[in-house]
Amino acid sequence: MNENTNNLLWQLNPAACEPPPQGILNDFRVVLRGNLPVAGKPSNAGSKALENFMPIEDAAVVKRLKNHGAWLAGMSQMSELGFGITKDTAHRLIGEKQCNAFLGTESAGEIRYLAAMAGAWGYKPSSGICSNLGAVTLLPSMECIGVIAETPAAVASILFAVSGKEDRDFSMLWDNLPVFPAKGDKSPDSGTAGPPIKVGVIAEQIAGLDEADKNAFEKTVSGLVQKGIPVTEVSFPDYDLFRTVHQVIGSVEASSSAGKYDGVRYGHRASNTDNWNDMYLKTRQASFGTLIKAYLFQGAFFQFENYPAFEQAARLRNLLFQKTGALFEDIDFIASPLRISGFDATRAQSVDDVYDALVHALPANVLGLPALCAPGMTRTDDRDLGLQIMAPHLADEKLLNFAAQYLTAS
Amino acid sequence: MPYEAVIGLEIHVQLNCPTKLFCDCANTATEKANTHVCPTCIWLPGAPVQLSEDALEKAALTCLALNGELSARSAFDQKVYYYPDLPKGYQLSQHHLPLATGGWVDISDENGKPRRLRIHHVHMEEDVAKLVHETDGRKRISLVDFNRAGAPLVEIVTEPDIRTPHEAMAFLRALRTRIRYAKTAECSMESGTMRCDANISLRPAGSDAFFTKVEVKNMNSVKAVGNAIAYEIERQEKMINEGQPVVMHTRLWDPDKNVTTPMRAKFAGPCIPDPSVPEIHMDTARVDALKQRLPEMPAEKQARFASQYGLTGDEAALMSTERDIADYFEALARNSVNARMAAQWISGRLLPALKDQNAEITDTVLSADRAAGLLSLLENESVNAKQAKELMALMFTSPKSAPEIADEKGFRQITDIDELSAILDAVLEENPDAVANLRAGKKQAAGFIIGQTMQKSGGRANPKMLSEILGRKNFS
Repeated sequence: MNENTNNLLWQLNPAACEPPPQGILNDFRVVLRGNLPVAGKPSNAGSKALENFMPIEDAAVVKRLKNHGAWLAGMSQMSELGFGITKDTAHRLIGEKQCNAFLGTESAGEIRYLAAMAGAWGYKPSSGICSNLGAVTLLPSMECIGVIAETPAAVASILFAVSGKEDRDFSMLWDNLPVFPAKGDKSPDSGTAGPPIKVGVIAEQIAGLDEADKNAFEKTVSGLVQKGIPVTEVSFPDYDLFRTVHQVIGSVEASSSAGKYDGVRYGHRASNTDNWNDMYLKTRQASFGTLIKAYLFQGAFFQFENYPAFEQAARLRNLLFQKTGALFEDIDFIASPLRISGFDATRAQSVDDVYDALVHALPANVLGLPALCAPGMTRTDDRDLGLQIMAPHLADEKLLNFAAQYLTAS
Repeated sequence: MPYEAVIGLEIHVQLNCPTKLFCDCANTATEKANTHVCPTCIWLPGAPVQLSEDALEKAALTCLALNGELSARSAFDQKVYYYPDLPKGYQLSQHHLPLATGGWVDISDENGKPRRLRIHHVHMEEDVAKLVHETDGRKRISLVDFNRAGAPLVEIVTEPDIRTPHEAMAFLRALRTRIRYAKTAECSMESGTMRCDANISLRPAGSDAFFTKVEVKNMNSVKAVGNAIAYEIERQEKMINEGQPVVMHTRLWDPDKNVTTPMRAKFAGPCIPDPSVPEIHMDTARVDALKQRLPEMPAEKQARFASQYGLTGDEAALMSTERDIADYFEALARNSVNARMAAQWISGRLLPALKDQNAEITDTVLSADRAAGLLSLLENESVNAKQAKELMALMFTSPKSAPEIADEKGFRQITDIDELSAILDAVLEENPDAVANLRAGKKQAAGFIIGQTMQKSGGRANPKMLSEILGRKNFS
């Protein structure tokens, strides 16, 4: 095992490893984001606060990957505690062919964004179908496992392995879970006759795009229409609330949850302190980087100085659930670009920078909905924005079938 | 201006579950630090959180025992506070959606007048770790013991209905009795399985305003709660009379000096919902099933004991204080033993003996069946009270029945009239002065004669029959 290579926290040499058991994932070389622990290997979640954290157990999804025959190739570097992607390396690892699949958690669309940068498929499943057990998480109500792979079929195979009830995780859904095909582009019922898929685009979201992004997306829409998919414009006047709701609730949850990553136990404990309070304060001060500190401060502000704002955001989140649910009564999916030309998430300097870059990805995390990012379909002159398709909760199977049928070159 | 106190209590009760709230670690006290721990209860990143079914049921039974209404939906929140006894920075507690709302406990005030004190809500939460402060040479060090971390607690929050130290103490005693009846917790303030904080403020008597409150902690007995509240009322009254403002803060009760002193506040913030523990849903069927498991509560039992067994109010109250005592009493009463005699024997003989032995009524070798044999001997006057006391002492060390031991030891009371008359006549003959006194009408001489006769019989004579025989003799 090598540690601290450029893009990897550690990597495994396949020649030196015991082969995985026979399974549907034998063809996958998987890199994990640094917050999905592997027993006995460092998992710092990109933070000095956890630089000495040595997990004693695999995360639940890691265990499942191994059981289904995946080769673990290593662990990527990542942004501190998973907020944003400024220090993530997944896109480079995929580009360098060091892996053909990547798993991590995302709380604001980070995995889908990295997939778009890598020119691969990114997928965020419905909340509650993949266990977060063992993951070092920050935003408990929005964070979920995300997958990057080369095709929708590969995504489905990985989800076949990692989704489903985990005995010790009572936060998961237990019934009516989506069924993913073990192998192949389509699940058994795909292609059967049924009502045509209707895709909606949110007028208020598209109106906010710059010219280049709008043009790129309009070409994508034309392409879908040419494939016989009806695309209709729908109105969602409260669409802008997604960002506010995510930022208020997310920062408060981060501020609260980050308490357990205080650095005292696994990080660099401050010395020359007067007493324990002083030691805690100085250790935290030294443990967290500027960007995450700013996010935690925002959360602390809402939590301790303006709690009614948090309560209001929680009410608005409920409103967004209802309004999005109403939209899905008339359409099957919502399409949009994932990235924005004017903002680069890898260069984010501030909390606002992160939110500016990830804004299109946020609704799926706010509402716990499945969303994928398809590569190569929504391009400007200089970048692949990624085509995002978001579906109703637990419509994962339908979404992946749609992707396999209409969004792949074949 | 006369003031009245407005007092609310926050009571933490540790449930007597075999495991902790969110993991399978033992929920038992142990002297060796950090032995009952796992990744979940030392709060390692990513560790699973599994709500204990047993803890949930015991918490729900506790709520029902306090007349609370179980919520159809309840959920856990992250309650943020930073202190070294909680290294993860937040405690899982139920803030927004507590397990139960409402409830009440009935007490009697200082004048014996009934008072119903209301409960605002009851919620579940995990206990924090225990700090141990020591010195390493001249250096002061603090150690953290996680054995207690994650222990299942319920917090009972009262309405501010309490007005006096007496009411606070009566409330705690009544609450403890009800919870012990439900068998969900030990509720010992001395051993820390029940802890009480009091919020105290003063207002002009008759007003319904709420003034600045002061929280008092660190009371380790019911009596200490009363003392601390009494002290705090006096302290605040003095401040108000001197024109000093009462500032909201937390104070610690010092049981050695009998004073409260200000303590440094823990940094605590509002609660944030935590979806890692699923919502708890209580449907009507489940609530009904739980209600079925709840025993008859002490107040109802007391009333029934009085009407069914003819106990006096005090006897019925004594017999219903603890569920185990009540069960023991009923077992005796059902064994055709005179109920009042049984109640008096339990309170006057058995419980003091058990206290001396540091034993519980549930695990004593003197079972209710065996005790029934003893009390039958007493009731049919086969043994007298003194013999019964000695017999009870022997029954603690012998597996034999009361009649067997009585026969072996010759404890049988002499009830044969001829035998009693013969002993009495011998005593009369040996004490002519006493006989003369009797003839002179000095009634105290009869007591002397009876005492001498009892002594001559080795304590076996039936004193009642002796009195009757003596009374029938003509000394004129």
